Amino acid sequence: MMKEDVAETRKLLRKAAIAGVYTTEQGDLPERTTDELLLEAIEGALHDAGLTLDDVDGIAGGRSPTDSAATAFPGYWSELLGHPVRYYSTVDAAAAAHCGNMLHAALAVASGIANTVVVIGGGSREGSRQASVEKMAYAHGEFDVSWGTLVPSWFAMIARRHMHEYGTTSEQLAEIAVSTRKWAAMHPQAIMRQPLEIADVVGSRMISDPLHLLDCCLVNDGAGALVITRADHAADLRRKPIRILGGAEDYTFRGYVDVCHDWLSSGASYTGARSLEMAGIKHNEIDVLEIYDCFTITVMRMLEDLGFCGLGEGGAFVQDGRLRPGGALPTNTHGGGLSWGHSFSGLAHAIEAVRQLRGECGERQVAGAQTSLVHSQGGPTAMHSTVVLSAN
Amino acid sequence: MNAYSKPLPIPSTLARPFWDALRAGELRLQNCRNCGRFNHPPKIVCPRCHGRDFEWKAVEPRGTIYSYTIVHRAPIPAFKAEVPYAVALVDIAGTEVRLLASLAAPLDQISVGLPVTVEFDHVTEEFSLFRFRPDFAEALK
Repeated sequence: MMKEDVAETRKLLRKAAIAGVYTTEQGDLPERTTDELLLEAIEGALHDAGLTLDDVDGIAGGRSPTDSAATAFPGYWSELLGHPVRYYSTVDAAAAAHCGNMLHAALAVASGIANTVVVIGGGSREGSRQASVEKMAYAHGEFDVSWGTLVPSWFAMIARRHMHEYGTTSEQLAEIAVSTRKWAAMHPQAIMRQPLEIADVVGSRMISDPLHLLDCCLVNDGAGALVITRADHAADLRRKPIRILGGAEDYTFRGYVDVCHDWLSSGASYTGARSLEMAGIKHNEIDVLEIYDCFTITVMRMLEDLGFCGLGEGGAFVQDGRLRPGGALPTNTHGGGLSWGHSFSGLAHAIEAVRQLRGECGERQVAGAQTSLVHSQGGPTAMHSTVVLSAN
Repeated sequence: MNAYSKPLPIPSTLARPFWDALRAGELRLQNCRNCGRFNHPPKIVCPRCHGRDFEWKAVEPRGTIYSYTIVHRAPIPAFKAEVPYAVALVDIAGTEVRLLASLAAPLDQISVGLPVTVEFDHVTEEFSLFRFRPDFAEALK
């Protein structure tokens, strides 16, 4: 089994740094293709770093429920770049992929397999919106397809069980939608920026009880990219390098397939604890928290398992507004999948963490932000990856 | 002639005995002969003891609701006419297994912990599904 010691990984991660980030427009973009959105994101992130396509020798990512299969083939990228890709990897773990992809990219750079890896995510649904939902229904397999469940139903059952065990309320879940919207209101790219109150969330139409429409993330088109290069190289580039202090992955079980599982524990307990141990920092030293938010309950459960509060305490923990702007634990400061956009959610959270740590977030900047924990989750709380980022 | 309009499972070779048992009005689960663990979905190796010797054991078709949801927005058009409908995760009695299925119950009388029975639903001439139905008499005991 695995080594308990985190020092070796920490040492390697020090040799890599995040040098550039980019997000395309978010929204309903039927006229744009996945390939073209990803290319814009890659070039944008390289430009941000002060690099060009000529500098890229690795790609990480390139799969999501909405993307085209072509981008999962390394040769596709070699042809697009006009030179061979020497490193390619993608974690096929739905939204849990992103922090895993970042970790793998950083370790590839640290070990000398590649010099500059672009981590990508997102794409376009390309006019096949309902078709992709039907495909997803069958993808969940023989034990899920016949009952009229889809992703929201699974998270709804987690929420229902949480309510049963701990007395969690719809209003407490709604607070997560409200705090996230308050952040989105300060992001010019966010899709949903109009003010939102708890009553609006609990008054929105029910999707899968107890989850209302506004407990659910958006579904849209768009892409993003993040450049990881050698730390010594990053120091000479355009932007302040952001370091990856720690990270861990835990792909616990097959979501939607293997249901014989304790729904109130998850691999995030491991990834959170190990990432922080590797980083050598404590929960109360995290300035900005970015947690993948397909649903409000996802954030609440991950706050618990990542160790920001105890199991069952998520409702009380969020209800005082601590996740909001000005709160003690600024969370999903771009507006998350709930309000900013969900085209490549998970990586979007990491990109926002980088922008916060570089101090370039304008109105929504968390003053003096030096550290961030970013968590990617693949549903329903089945797969996890976490990174801890630092400005220093 | 298949008049059933909702999606049917595409059984895997490994899980075929599960679906065949439903057809025969039984709930059978893969059981590890080495350590006694029930595995669902069935596996090629027992995740607890790594044994490979399995049998398909008939289990009591009943359990208790672990969690549930009431679906108000159908994920695909085939379920549109049914909303709102209940779906439950049920812990099957005497096993480690939790199953997902439709829950045939008045929507205002569902709760976590409610005892249910497994009903066999012979949806086509070739294929059977199952659903849960509350056992209110058992709940009062």
